[in-house]
Amino acid sequence: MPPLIEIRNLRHVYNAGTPAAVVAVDGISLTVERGEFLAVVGGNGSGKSTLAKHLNALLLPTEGEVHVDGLDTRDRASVWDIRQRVGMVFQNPDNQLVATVVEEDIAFGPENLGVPRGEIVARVQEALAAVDMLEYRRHAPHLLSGGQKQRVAIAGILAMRPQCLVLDEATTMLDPLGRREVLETVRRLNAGGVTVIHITHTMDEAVLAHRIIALQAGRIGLEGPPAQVFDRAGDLEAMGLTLPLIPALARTLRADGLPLREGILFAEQFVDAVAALAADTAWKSRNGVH
Amino acid sequence: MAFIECETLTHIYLKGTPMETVAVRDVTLRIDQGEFVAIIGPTGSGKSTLVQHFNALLRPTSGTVRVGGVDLSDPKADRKAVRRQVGLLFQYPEHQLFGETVFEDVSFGPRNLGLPPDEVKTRVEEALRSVGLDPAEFGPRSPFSLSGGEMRRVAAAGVLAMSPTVLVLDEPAAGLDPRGKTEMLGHFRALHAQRGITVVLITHSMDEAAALAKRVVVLDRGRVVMDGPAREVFTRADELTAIGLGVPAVTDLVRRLRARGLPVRENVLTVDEAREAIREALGWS
Repeated sequence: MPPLIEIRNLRHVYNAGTPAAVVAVDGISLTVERGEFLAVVGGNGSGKSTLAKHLNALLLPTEGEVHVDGLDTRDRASVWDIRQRVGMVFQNPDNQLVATVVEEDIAFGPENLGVPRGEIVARVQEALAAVDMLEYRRHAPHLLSGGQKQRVAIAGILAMRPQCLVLDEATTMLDPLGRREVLETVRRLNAGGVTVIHITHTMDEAVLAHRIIALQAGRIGLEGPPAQVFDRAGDLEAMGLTLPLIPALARTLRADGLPLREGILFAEQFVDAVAALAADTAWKSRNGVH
Repeated sequence: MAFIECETLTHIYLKGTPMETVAVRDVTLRIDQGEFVAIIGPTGSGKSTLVQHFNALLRPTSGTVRVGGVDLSDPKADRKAVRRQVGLLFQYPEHQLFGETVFEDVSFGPRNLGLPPDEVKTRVEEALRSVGLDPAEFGPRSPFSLSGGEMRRVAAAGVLAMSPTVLVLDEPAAGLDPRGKTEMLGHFRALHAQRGITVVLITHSMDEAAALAKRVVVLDRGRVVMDGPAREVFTRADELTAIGLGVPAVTDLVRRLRARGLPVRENVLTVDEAREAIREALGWS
């Protein structure tokens, strides 16, 4: 089986060949494996959203190629197959829902795919259950909270039975609860086998991924598992990015001389490490701590 | 005397129709000159509706709003004078840029005040500098050639060029990258500290509220449910979580450390405070 997404030497130039030409993606090669949770970070204008739009043929390469499940995005005949495989959730929850009732909104995608009616009903049910919104099936989308709207948008994609979910800053406009809801939903779907590509400015969300790529000026500047990427605070800072809170605090305390282990990413790990230190009487007596 | 004074303020959209929605309910709130107040609340809690009363964009359905002593529920009130004093920066304000050049865009407000051209120029340059943009470099450029963060700062300069005494900011850092966020908020912090500008900040980020504001007002379903010093409000973690908010990430971390039996002091709001508190608890000072 081919990898889910394979990008080779992708370049994207807006207004190519005019004086207003802007190189947004400048030579990216990337493979996304099935079931992966990938976070894409980078400053404003680093090419994140342009890259995302290549993942389901909303944009086509100026140079290079993008393959989704073995299908070339430049092949016009494959466009609908590609969009059925890779669904996108965008930033503004108010711009993505089309129907006046939640379940009709979810049914819109499968209806367009020509799915038989009986199966649509089953799919709508299943998709709403997956995002924990079944009880809102007959509600009007505009009366939902931001987090609920984004979950309905995700359900609309799930009803197409996609292999990959791309979130393009989909949590940016949400309040804390909305963020928690969307992130929990996405993690649950990923655990169930859906590939997730999460584009975000929030480092505390990127830390949840299996792998992070950091873009700078249309290229991949840093790549690796979170523990590795967040070990390179200086490089991130140079890219206009920061460490998530927990690794940042651990790093500061290490610089103060506290022997906290490397690679601490989450609050639970941090608490464990500090508790272990507090219990380590040998360390205390060696350092004259009372 | 309070500069902004809301007395049992209620705002109902589409009153008397089947779509009637009570956005703000019975809010009594006073904000003094020179304060830095954060307003937090879940989506739909009435934050944006409330602050639009502060510069007379909305009029109360019932109750009163007084700004600088002017009663805005009076239809004859001088609303223009209030708008000169209270500058409001909307969400995603970069969508509202329209000038051919940055200079033209930022100068729109002061020109409408009928100020002489050299005064307009001085104000525009000062406003651009206070958001970290060099007037000579950015003034002649098209706003649409700028990055998202720069456009946002141009929009903020447009508000600052009116020399407001109160700045109302509706999610000013939403959607900016970490560096853009830090810079944007840094400029507002400096304007408050150096010029004593009153700042009312709406935010979804508990971390931002804790790092910037001395006082935090919490809205839920149109009502003020908490109002006090940031340090006190953020001790009420369970109540905040129940309405869909939370506490700053460091405050949460310290709670977890304490739950493990570590003697870390409470009421920690910033990374620096957390660092001190943890060193202290481990006797590493």
